[in-house]
Amino acid sequence: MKSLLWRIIPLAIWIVAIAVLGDQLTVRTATWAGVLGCGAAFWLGARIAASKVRLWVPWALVLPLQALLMVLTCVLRGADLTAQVMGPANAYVFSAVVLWFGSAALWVGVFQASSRRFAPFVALEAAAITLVGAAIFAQHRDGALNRPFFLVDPLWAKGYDPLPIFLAIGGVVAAVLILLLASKSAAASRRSMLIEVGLLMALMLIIFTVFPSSQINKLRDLQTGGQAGDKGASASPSPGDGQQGGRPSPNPSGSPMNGQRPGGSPTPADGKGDKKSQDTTELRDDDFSKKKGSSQSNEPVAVVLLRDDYTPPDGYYYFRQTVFSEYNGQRVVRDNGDFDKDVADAYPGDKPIELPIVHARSGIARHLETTVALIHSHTRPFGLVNVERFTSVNNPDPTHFQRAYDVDSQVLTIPLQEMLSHKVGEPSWSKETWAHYLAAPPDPRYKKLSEECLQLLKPELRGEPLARAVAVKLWLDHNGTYDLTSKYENSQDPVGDFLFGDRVGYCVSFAHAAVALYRTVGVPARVGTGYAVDARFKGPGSALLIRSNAAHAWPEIYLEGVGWVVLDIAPEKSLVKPADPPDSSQQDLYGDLARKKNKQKMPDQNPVSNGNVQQMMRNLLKGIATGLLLGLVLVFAGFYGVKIWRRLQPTFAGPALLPLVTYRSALDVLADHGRLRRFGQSREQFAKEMADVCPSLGRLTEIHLERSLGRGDIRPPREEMLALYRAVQSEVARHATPTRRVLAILNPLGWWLVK
Amino acid sequence: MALQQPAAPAAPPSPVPGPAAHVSAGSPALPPSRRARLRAFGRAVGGLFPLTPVGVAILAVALGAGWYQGIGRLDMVVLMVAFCALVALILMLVAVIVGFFVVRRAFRRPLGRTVNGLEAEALSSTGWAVQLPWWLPFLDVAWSWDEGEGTCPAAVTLHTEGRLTYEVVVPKRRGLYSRIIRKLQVRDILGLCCMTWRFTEDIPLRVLPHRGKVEQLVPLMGFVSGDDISDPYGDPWGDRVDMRQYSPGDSPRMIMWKVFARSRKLMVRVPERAVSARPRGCGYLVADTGKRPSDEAGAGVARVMLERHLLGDGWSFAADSGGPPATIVEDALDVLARSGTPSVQTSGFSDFLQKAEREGYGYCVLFVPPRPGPWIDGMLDAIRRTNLRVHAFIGVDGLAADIARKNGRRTLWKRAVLQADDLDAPTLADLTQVVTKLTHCSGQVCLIDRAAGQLYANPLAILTRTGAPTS
Repeated sequence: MKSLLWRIIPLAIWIVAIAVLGDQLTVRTATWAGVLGCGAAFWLGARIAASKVRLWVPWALVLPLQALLMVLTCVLRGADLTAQVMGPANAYVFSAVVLWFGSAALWVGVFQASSRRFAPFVALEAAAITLVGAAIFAQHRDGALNRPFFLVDPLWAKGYDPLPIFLAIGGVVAAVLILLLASKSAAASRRSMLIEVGLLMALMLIIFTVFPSSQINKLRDLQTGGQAGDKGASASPSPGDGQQGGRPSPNPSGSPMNGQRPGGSPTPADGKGDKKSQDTTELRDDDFSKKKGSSQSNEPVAVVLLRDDYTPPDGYYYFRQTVFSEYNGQRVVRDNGDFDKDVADAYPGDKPIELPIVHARSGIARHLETTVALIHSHTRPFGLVNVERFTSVNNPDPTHFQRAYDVDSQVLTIPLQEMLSHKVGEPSWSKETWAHYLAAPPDPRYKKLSEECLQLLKPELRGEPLARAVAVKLWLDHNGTYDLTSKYENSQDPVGDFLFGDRVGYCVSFAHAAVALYRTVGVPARVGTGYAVDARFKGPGSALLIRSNAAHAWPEIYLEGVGWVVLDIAPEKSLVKPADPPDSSQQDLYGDLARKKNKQKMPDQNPVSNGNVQQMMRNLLKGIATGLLLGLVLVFAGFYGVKIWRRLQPTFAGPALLPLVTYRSALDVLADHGRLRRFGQSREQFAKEMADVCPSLGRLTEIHLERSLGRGDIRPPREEMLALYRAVQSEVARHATPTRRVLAILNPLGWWLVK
Repeated sequence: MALQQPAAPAAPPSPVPGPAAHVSAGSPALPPSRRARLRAFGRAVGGLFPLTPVGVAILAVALGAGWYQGIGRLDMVVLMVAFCALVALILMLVAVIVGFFVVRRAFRRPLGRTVNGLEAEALSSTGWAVQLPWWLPFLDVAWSWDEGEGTCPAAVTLHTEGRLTYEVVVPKRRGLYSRIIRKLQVRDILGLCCMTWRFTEDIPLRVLPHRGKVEQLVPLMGFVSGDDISDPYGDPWGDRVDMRQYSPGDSPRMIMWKVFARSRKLMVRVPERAVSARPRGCGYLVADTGKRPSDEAGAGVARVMLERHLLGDGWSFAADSGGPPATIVEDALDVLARSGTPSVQTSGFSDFLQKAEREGYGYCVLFVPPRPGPWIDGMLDAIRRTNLRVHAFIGVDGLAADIARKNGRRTLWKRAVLQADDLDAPTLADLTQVVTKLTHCSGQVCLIDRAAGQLYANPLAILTRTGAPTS
């Protein structure tokens, strides 16, 4: 028979679950009704389980009854009568009460009946409880650690890291499940069950403490097998999509640089970098094989801290990771030769990585320092265009970030239209370099199309290379349609098929097509890939959160004295639904985490272990373990101390106590060897029993008993007592194996067991 | 009222060989077929799979949710729950595997015990217990009795005292059994892991029918051999008079109110018995061979009669599939037990009656199950043919429950909605059919409710009053 405690526990668990769920979903009165429904469910479940009714019957009835309840609720809400009698608000509350009471009674009742009748149904009950627990905190999924606000806001305001809190909530849910399973167990009638469940609770606490929270993102990379880049590479409609919905252009000048940021681009895997740790959001080689809808992830992948106030003139922050410039007869791919030295292939180590870039004159560009903290690992570093130097820095928070590095960049300060007079390319370039960046498809259709694009220009501007490139961009902006559905994955000539087909594609298609046309009109160009983030999303702070849907590919052209600049395509037509606006509080949260190392905390906002509850628990457990160990050492030392004291006492005890302490020491020696006087056995009987092993004990017993029970005035000589004691020692040792002798010396508890 | 004369010394009974001499308990030890061996091997291997359905479900859900939801979507709550579930599962798995070998080691030698006094459908303690070591936490041990050839079907209830678990069993069927096969489970306290093996204890086991409250049934004696009011002028051990104690169904006109006024005992007048030597009686138990036998109550009544010597001197007792007739109590109890596990073919009730008639028995007490079966027509024929006075006892467990089920037809929807256990019990219609047929054929039919300790002298009247369908 289970005790009352174990019968109450499932009821309490369900009541708490329904109360928490109701608190999120309905009015308070209905929550109370749900709690009452739980009580009714336990009564109902017990009745059903005890009845002769087969179990499929309640399961078959539960859905129709639930539907009936919902219909009844709708009727109560919509009926004029209830509204007139109770008032609209009360009618709504009443209908909610009916729904919550009935639903709780129905579902919990069926769960109870099922798990009482057949134990395996308890798994279903456990799954339902987990679902309730997980659903309440589900908003924090996909890295949105700033949600749910009701939990995170107060914690974050006090400086607590939300991640360990979510882990702790998971631990509590797991502990609740253990209680639920234990309460349903047949062993719940056992008295020791409480101790065993207590041990399991302690185990949950230890699991929480040692849980490797800093490895979660690595596990995620392992899960995706380096292919999760599909999400990001697929690169989604990115922030620019929003403009399709009629948003004002981020560039007030109406520059052609604004507009769509179709995502995704080719990244030939050249073997450089760590393939295993390839990030889920990086652009991959299968540039034209993106599937529709695969880029809808909005997961944060990195946070960038701007060390100075800077807004890009074209309205977008471009973070370049790699480039493609070598024409392979069909499209541009990654160059493995002597070109594109301004892109890093590896992360900085002890020494910074310096990249050769053209230093633009003041007024055109400026120096900007940023810090990038990677939430997910990437194969290569990326930085704000154009990067001068990557420098490794300490990871500000290994729980949240994979690594961090500083980036020194040279960024443009004027819009591109103010650089129309600039020439393209560098006079210092060799013929090979010119040929490399101007290699274009020999197909005459490209030439014809580029000439068509140039018709957009005034005749006097047709000789300006930059103007020619802009004309191409405008033509593509006007004639292209952005869509995530790829039709070119199996094409032999994806660029040609896109450009001379219906021109429906995404960033990869547009970038490659633009580069082919730029080169056709004589402008050195290449494809850059990485992330493009709308400058409007930065907000008032200095942190910029990069999400997976910001992955992007764009065309770049080379301007003399400036270097590579982005001349991106912004299709005017889009078939893609605009992405949701970013969560600014999440950006602030990650920004604060990335700044942790430099964070100045107020004294009253300075929780232990930097606000990491998990670390606090670790410290606590470490303290407890140290204390226990110390206590154990002290206890052992005390036991050994008493042992030594009792062994030495015959040598200095007074004549009155000598028979007693000598006899006691002899018993200690025997106890150390596992020879103990049994309960109820007299001293004489014990001495007789030990006569074969230790004959001297008989005489010692006689003296002791004579002294204790008979003549209190006898004073046996110390020499005789010590001789008997030594005889006992040698006799016992003679009958023991060497191992037993060693164990007897080490045994600290022998004296404790002597009766 | 005529006083019954002291019974003349009965003729010595014909020597009937004891049944235990040549009847072996249980089934003959035939070598198991290859299929059976394969099945046993499969069961043994399957029992070693350490996860329960709950464990498998939790493993699958924890892996799936942890991988796709926890890691794939960075749901920290789900991730932690899944991680904890997996760690707990692994911990329980280790504990169960270790516990399995520890407990199994404790039963590697035969126990050499004997178990006595088991009764069918009654709680009995066998003294069998398992002690879990203190150093193995999170473990629980459970077992049930496996059904098979030569084994006793029983419902086992386990009780614990600290780390000691012992069994209290309710054998489902009387019989003579040769072994107990226990299906032992070492499982964890969360029900995630479990390892099973079968432990066979070779032990002779006699399970007798439970007496119930029939033991307290005073009128039973009157129905068989007169009443318990002795004649003050008769023998010291008591002569019988022609009255007996009242039982439901007796006409109130037959109640002897003067006797009631003197003794506060409700007595009824019964036909005067012949003043002659008491005839020898014999007894026969008709066994129910159906899927869920209903003859345990009748067997319980027979046991009381045999143990209380209510059949008088020189009696003989036999039962369907019970082996040769017995003339001493111990052998008769064996016959009674053996009839519960039909393994010996006997010549049947007709032959028994003919033989009893030849051997000079005066009456036969027949114990009949409440559910009709193929046996009923043959039995009625035999009753019609014999010159012996046949007195039929129909044993039931809980007539009130039967009455409640008077309309309990086993319709299709009832079979679909209700559990089979309930549907297999004899219904009031079954009982009425048996009572009606026996009443029309035999002189005296009594209904005995073993659970309530109630005797109904005129069951047909009772059943008709309750509205039971009569043929």
